[in-house]
Amino acid sequence: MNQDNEDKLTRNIKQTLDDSVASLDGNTLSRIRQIRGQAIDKAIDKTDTPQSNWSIIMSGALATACVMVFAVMILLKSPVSNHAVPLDDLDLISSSESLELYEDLEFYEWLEDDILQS
Amino acid sequence: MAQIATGNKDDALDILQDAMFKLVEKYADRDTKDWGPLFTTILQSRIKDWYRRNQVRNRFRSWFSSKDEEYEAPIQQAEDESARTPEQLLQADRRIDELDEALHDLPLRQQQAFLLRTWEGYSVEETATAMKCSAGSVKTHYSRAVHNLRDKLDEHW
Repeated sequence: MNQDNEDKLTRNIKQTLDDSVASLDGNTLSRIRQIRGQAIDKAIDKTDTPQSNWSIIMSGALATACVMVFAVMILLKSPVSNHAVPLDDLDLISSSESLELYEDLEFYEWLEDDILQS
Repeated sequence: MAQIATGNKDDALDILQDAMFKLVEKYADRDTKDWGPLFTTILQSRIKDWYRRNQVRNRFRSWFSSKDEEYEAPIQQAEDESARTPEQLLQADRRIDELDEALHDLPLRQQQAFLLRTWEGYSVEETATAMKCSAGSVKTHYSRAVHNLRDKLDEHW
């Protein structure tokens, strides 16, 4: 078969196939449109679902980050001495000596130094 | 294309539905220009699966019933919307039937190669991708298909 013959054959076949599609019955065309619509709906659902999941994940992550920042800020701002009792003060509190003695402690120290020097 | 391969409208529509769903399920995020070749590849794959499943069943059918009773192309039932005379309609129907039978009788791979190249206008490489075979195989299948069709169809074609 020569090339012209082959071209004519394929051209005629293509034309006949196009004609057969153009004259598809209404039921078939309707079913094809229905399938196409279902496929589009499926594609839309597929596109929507990951976005929703992504936004949920992002919201959760943002909320967690906010809580963590807030917690760190509270920890950093909290005065350390609020609850901690210095060890020097513990001696004063637990001591049985009169509080006046401690109030005049500098005087007694000076007096002691003076005695030692003399 | 699915209808020519299966010879059954319902099966062809089922294959079409499977292929469309598969396309949106797996490749909806791909570039739109890829959709055509991807859809064709999926469709060809589905047709091949169907063909394998039904090969044995069809053999039994052909043994126990005549071909005319077994297969009636949907195009035979279609209304012609163009204003053609009954003679022209009859001639067109005969032509379509003749072609349909010739194509349907081709081995599946020849049928696929021929329809993708001639009807869809795919290049050898695109057809090879859709059929998941080499370009050389496409050329061989196509060439054999053309020769087989030439033998089956009369000189008016």
